[in-house]
Amino acid sequence: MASLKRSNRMKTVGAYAVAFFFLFFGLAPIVWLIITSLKPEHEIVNRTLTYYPHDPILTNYVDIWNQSSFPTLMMNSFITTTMTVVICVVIGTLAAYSFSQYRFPGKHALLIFYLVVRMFPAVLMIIPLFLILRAFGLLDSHLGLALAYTSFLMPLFIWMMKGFFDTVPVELEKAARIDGCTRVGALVRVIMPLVRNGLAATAIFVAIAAWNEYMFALMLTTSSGSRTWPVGLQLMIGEFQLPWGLLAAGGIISIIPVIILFALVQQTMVRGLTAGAVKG
Amino acid sequence: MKALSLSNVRKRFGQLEVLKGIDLSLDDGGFLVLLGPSGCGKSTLLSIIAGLEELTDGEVKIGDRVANDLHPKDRNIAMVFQSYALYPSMSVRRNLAFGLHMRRVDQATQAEAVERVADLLGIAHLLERRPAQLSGGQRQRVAMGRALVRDPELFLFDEPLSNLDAKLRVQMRSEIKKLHNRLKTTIVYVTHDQVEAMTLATSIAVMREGEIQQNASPSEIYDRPANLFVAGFVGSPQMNFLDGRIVAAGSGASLELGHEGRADNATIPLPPDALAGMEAADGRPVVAGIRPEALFRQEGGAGGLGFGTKVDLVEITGADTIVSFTIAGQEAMARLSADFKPSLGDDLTLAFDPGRLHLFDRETSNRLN
Repeated sequence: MASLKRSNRMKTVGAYAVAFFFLFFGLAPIVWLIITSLKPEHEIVNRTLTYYPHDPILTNYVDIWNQSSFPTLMMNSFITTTMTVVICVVIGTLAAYSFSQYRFPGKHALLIFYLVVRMFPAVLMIIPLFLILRAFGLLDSHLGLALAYTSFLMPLFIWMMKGFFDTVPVELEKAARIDGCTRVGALVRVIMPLVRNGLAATAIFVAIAAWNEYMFALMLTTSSGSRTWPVGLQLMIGEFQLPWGLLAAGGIISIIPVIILFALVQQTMVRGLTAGAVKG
Repeated sequence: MKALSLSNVRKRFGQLEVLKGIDLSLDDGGFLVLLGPSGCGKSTLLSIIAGLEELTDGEVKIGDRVANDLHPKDRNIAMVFQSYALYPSMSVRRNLAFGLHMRRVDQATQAEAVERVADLLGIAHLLERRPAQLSGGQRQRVAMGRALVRDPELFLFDEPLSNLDAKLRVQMRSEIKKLHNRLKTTIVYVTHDQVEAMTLATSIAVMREGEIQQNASPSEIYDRPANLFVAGFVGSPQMNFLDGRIVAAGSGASLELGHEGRADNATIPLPPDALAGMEAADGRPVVAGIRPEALFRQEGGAGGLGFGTKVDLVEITGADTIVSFTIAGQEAMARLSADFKPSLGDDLTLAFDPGRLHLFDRETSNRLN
């Protein structure tokens, strides 16, 4: 009896230990980033390690916002992300809906093709994309970068949204069409309200991926007119200086929109992602 | 005026032909039931009438308009689906009004129509609820209300009662019947349930593998089935089918049940009018069909259209006693009165009215008499 209790307690302790280990592993870099962003330069570059800022300052935040191109970088990221999301939502929703509800020749082949596209490493796609964008004069532009993002985010969007549309009974569209809607009308008026949680979740996935993307942005943008924050931040590392405090502050500022988005739609998102599993 | 006429309607999905030239028509105020087993094409046919599915060939006329190329919304039809297809995000009131709203009917008329239909179906107290908060029967009513509210030319019902439990199904069935009697609406109704078909229809089209086997009134379908398929599909327990031959003997003819040359064959002499309308070729192989309920007990030994047999199995349903027996080496059933409670192996003499004997060609399976 006693040994059974003890073994149960050991299991609980073990489970918590694993959970805390991964929590630490995930959170420690972010916590360290916050601490670093609040330290003055002399506390960051020091022989003795300080675990918390002795005299915390906000100068890093003020400086990166006022004395660098960081606001422009943020704005560029914002525009590119918005464009990516809009393209994915408009085209991807229609595509996912037809994949889910209609029968047409080549449907399965196309769906698999989208999946295969995702299997290639991004590096392989950059050179052809570079050439295509250059041919269309879209290099170093918001739209060009957004289109490049859709090349790998659209398949993700379509596959996820197809999952949500699959849970909608086909009769609903038929009923709406008989009630006087066109197919697109039925989609907008009757079907979309049912999958809006899923749509929000999927759109945010795409938004976060586009917001944080680094490699495409590095290769496809050349000027400050379209450069996004991950690239801009990296370029602040100079040959002779490494402004740790500024970089940390920039990092923190740039994850704020992501955190806000998550906070706003957290519940919707969780509901959306589990909708397929537990059918209401 | 014909409310609906279909001529030579065909539908092909790739190589598969699911409708093979359907001709049908329905009078104004009629109740047509498309009856058949699953996969016979009845729901596809309904979808074609609704415009949800395109036809490969043929013509669909609703009223006096050719509807082949009309969008579903322009056909002036309403449809009730098996899964109800209520809009989950809208209240019952919005569900009912949606069709009117899409047709830009003004608010006051919409509200009035919704109230009228809600009262008619007894769902007035549910108007503010969402479909998820309703029971199966209530959803069914709302689905019917959504069809009724627009007052269309043609109502299409796609197995509307199959998701309900047995008791509710019977109740809703009689409500649909009452509604049809009262409102004189024109209805096309798809079902695989022969009881629904028999009780509701003014005309039944029995379908099988994309073809109409027989299109007639319920009593005609029951009393004079056109072929073995219709005979077997309608009626419960199923009609007894017994292989046999017509044997001409002098002026009269008789029916020899059983396979040729067997010792246990039974011969039943037929009155002259039993073979009316058929070529009574001697020795013609037939399938004799006798409904279990057409058989009755005959006291005082065999004779006339009677035959002797033994009780193989007794099933007491309460309302009646179903007796299984063997005649000429073939199994059959008789539906007898409930006060008759035989034991296994008892001798039994059964008889039937010659007017209720169905004879089918053994090769073509078509009706002969």
